[in-house]
Amino acid sequence: MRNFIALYFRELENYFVTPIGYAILGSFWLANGFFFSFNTLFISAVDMVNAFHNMSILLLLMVPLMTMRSFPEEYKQGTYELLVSLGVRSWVMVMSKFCALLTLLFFMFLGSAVSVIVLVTFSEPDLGPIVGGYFGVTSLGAVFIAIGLLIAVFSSNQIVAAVVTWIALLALWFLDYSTALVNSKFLSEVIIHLSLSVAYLDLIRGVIDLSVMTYFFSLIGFCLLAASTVLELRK
Amino acid sequence: MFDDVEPVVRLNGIWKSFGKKNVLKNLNLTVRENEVLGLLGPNGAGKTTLMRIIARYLLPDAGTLNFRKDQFLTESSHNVVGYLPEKAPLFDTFTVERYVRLVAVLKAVPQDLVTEKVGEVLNAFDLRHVSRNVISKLSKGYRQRVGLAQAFLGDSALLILDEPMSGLDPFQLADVRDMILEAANKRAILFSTHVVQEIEMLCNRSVFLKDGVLLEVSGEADDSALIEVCVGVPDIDHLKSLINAASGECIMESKSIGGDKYKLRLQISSAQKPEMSKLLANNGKLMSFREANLDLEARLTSLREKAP
Repeated sequence: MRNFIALYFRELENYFVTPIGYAILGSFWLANGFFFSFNTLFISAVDMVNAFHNMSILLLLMVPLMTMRSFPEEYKQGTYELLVSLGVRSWVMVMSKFCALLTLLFFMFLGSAVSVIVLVTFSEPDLGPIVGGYFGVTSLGAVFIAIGLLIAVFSSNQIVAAVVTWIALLALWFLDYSTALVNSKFLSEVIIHLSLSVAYLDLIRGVIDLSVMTYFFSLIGFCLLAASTVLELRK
Repeated sequence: MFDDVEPVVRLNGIWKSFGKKNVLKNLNLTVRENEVLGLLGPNGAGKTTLMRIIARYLLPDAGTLNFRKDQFLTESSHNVVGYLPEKAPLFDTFTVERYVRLVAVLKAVPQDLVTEKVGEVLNAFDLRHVSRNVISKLSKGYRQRVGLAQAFLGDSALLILDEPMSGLDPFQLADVRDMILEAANKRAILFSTHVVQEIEMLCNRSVFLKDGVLLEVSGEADDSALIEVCVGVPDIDHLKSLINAASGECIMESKSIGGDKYKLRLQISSAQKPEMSKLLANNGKLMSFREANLDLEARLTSLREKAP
């Protein structure tokens, strides 16, 4: 536990002693604010559905940039070798990075909560779907991060890690398109269920579907476990 | 003479391959308490792989690795190894002190001793004045010193140093040599280098690795060695008395080579070499320290021819 805490804070510190963390937060808040203003001023929407949709797309673009440094940087600096020689377990390394990235995600969403304050001040929005929506996009972000970390453990090059993560996320996002090529109804249903672009439609409306959540948490668990296993196998 | 000394780590029948290439072949090695063991060999001989296995960064394909009387492959064993890989493993965005503190935590140094232990290594490697500097802004020599500081931190029973002198200036070299010799009083040290003189000055024993096969070069077999020393000292008589007090009547020859520089030939045992080089470095300007009777470089050359 001591190692986990030390590495978790080291990861967080890494984001905030460099411009990386501020660049991620700043660009997310800026883009989010722009889309929210556009929706409220020009479309007169008094909910967060469009905002959550935009957040999901932004995460799709930004998470690969957040995860690409994680392991490639450790390999390049030789610090991975140090951590292993110090007896830090693979799962501790993976979980410390995952939790630090989740914390960064939390701050990204915290900044976006200004939109909620504006809504509450000037209208009477239904807060249930908003809370549900935040939970949904956080889960979606966690899935993206877990996938990004799994891909990052394979690569010693940050750019390669980011590009492969984008490809993997886009493939999962547009997975439902492939049903056009499948004859089996059962297989089509499975593919649709696995497609992130289908799963997120309910989430952004604040509807927490148990099957979607099970899928998301299974995917997170699988990716983190696989990442730890890959690290063990590097020995 | 080392048979009664408890081994810190013992490797038996270690094999390691990457793909189809056998990097280490049935390797047996023992590192004992208070021993400085030098690891020599050409590039690609398997030195780094061997060190990585002992540091548990890599697992052997076959063979056993035993730490003292216990199996080395246990979690608790990590705290007894200080490791400096070939490239100093630094968190570039951290300050020197923050980095060393983090390593102290990961080495399970007790919370109330962290400040004291960190202070000790910062002072020992003359890093106090750069302790608040960001590591990425440091010169290569300072980066190497920070790497050494993290390796020496704590009470590791074994130090594994992969080319620890690279990137250091002559003054830092002398300091690090002293640190290694001082550390050898309470720890075992395994270090690799391409500089034969470093082996001669620091090691009780050295081994030569070629194509994954280990050959002992010096150690118990040559208990006595004729050492040729060049030293700058204002009072040679005082130095001679110190040498004689430390190792008996061992000065075979002494002559001035200009100014306050002298060439001495000393007949001492292999085990006395580290202590003697430390004594000379502490009491004068040690310019060279090498075996005169059996040139290590010549022996290495012959081993290179013979090795499979």
